[in-house]
Amino acid sequence: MLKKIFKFPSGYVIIEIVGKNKEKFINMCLANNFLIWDVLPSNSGLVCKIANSDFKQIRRLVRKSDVKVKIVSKHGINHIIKKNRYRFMLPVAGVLVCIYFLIMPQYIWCVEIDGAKNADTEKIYQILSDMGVYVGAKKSNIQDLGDIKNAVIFGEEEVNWAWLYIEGAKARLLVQERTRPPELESDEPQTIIASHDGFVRIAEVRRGERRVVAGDSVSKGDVLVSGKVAVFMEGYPEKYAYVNSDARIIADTVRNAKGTFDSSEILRIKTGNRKKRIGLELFGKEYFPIGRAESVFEDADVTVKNHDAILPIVGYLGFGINVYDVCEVNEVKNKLKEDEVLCRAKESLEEEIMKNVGIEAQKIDERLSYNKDGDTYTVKLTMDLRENIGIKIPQEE
Amino acid sequence: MKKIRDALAEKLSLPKDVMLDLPRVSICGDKEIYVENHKGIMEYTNTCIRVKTNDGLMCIYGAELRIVVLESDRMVINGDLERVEYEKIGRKIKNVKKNL
Repeated sequence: MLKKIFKFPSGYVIIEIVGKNKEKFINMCLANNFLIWDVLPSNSGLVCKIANSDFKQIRRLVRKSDVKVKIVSKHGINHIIKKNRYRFMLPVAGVLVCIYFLIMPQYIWCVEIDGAKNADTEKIYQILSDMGVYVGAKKSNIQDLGDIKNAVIFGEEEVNWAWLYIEGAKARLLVQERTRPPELESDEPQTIIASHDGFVRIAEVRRGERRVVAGDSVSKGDVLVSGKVAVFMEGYPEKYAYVNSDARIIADTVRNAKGTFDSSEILRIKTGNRKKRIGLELFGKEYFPIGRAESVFEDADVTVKNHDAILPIVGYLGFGINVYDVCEVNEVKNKLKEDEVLCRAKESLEEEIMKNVGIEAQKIDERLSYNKDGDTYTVKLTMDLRENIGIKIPQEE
Repeated sequence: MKKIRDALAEKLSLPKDVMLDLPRVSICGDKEIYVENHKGIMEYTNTCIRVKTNDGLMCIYGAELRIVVLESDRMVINGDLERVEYEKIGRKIKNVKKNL
């Protein structure tokens, strides 16, 4: 293998030696210090490799040993050049490719923002563009990454910190978003009312005037702790202090949820037909040379794998390939058993109830009842909970 | 002259391959054979390679035999070796030198 690599620039020829004295010819080559290697027997004689320079000198030996030498194939750079000497566009294409690899990485061909969820990406793109980071911008014109980073941090209030990386032809802005502190409780007077009917188990009042004790039954909207606190003694004029009530009112509640569920579901079954489509990503835009992935099958699941062209030192070269794996699927109606329908219904209704419960909620018990009408189930879930039912509303002064 | 050299090598404990220009043969299991100081090949097929030496012919028998290195003074042969025989030019002197 190494010999093949080392001999490739100067070129070598694979020859077939046919005749009675083929071994003699080999011996004569060795005696004349002609380098031959990979000598193999073939059907009609021997096959071996010989360097280009030596091949030109073996004519004498061929005559002497009375063998016939046939060229099987020619290898090496000089042979390639000779073979393609009339193909003028080949070196031109080679030069163009070299120019491409030299010039293209000097420009920004893709601007990416990572880590932005709440931040306004359009605004960030605009800021970057104003600072000279846009598709087609010359990299050498981007002087101070720190200034650009600061412009983004100060320009978009949702951004807490940012890092700008120039990776080849790609500018990647990594954004750390601001974490908002939790809203502090206002000092405005507030009253706590019941969010749901219930039977009070624990009533710990920290601030405000208590209206319920453990063992009381309350209805939705009942005042549990009032923000209007009487601060006068009997016989004196009425006087009230308005406070921001704070209490922990834990009560047993009963919550219901109802829904209709179908006993059949649609399954997407893969047929086994699979096709691949290539998307060529060029400077941020995608082209489909052999058609879009969506148009391959009537109904299909598509998975995408992205392969960006990246060189070790140069980085992103401005283009990449997206391989779309398109699997044809058929929608099949699947009939569910009663247990499965009820199980799914229970999960769904539980989720619905738990969305509305108060903090510290604990499930004590639950009951499921249902009616079946053909393929449709009407399911009702009743949950016994222990939860904090207090919600705050402003106290009118 | 050869006899004198032989005796001299014997008496002085000198290596005979140097004194008598004999081939030096190394065999690795039944897979590879390394021949130094050869004088050329006489026959080369898949099953038999006959190598000329100063002492006569060395015949290597086996299957899928290949000369992987061939230089003016050394060669390496690969394959499933079966046996190696030595022949004096004209008559066989030593049958089956080594059965592999």
